[in-house]
Amino acid sequence: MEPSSPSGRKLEPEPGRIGLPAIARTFGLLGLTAFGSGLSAYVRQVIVRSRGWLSDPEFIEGLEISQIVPGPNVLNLTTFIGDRLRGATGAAVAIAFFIAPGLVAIIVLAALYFENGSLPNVVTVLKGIGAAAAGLSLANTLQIGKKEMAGVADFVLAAVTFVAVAVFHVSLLIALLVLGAAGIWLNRPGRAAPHHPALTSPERDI
Amino acid sequence: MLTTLIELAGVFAMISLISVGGGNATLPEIKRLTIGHYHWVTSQQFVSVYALGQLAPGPSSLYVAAIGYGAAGVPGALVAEAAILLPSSILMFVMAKLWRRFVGSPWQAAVKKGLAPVTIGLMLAGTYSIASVAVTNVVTAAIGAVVCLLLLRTRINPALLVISGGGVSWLLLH
Repeated sequence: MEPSSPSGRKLEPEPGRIGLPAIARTFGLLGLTAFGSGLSAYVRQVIVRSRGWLSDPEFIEGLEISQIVPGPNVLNLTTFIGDRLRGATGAAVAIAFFIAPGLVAIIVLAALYFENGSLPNVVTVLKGIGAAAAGLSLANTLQIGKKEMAGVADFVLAAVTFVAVAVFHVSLLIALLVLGAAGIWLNRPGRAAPHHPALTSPERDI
Repeated sequence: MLTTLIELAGVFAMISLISVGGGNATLPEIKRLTIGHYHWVTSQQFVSVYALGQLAPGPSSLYVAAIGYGAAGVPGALVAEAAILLPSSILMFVMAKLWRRFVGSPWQAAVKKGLAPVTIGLMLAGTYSIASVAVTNVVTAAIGAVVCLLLLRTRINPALLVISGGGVSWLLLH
């Protein structure tokens, strides 16, 4: 199933030692119990500490890649772990079982909502749920912002991005191409930023 | 129906590939396309299904399946979810193989550090796009503020807080 992968295996324990049913069970359970943000920390608890399937350095490597590649971090991390455990099949099984409980839940909720969403009592409950979700989104933004933002330039860039997207409805692609490129240029190699927390203190995101 | 499914696949696959920062950074773009351009959901429905997504376990992008449901029923939900999921996951799979070539490259840190403020700006815009519809009076403003504070100060399960927000709203506004 998993021919020796091109990604130098020297750091990993022998590939294929974890069975697909175990991967399915573990990620199914994770998918069922993973709520809110900070899910990467939860995945680490289970995969590194309780199962011992990956070492911390391997996990942190996965987390760093997950943060740069597009897509939700926790999902990218799931792909990474599944692949390290059992190659492409492991990644597919991990993703499928991680996503399944939430997907069933959201389809049931959506069906109920689109049937009954205009009943007066439901409208009132949904108003509160929407407001709470806005508060949740703000809390996530503040928590991540506190970790990632350093210096005036970062705040200016974040503010410009906010105004461009929220006020002028600039598309995500344009925002990334222009403002993302500006951000990368401001941090380009050789422009000696005082420190690279990303590389020196990998624990900070966990 | 088939046209809608193809459009769902196209829109969410494109967003998947540019969803840098993950999570709420894509909210404004998804809102812009699904409400303004394709009219799959109204802005009230958008906020409601986004909020319902917070009640389901798993990655935050699951609410996309609910938008797909609004556009084209269960097939729409499955297509939308597959489209938001697969492109970025395949990219991750490939990057995980190639990663060791980039390790230690100074550009690796530059990309991460340079994109962070843009991601924060996008997440703030995402929050605004939800709040501007969801916060309509004193009660909803208070619910949002209290949930935010509780999450910053405690480790309560966020799904519980979202449900409680619905309960409080019903008690005070019905």
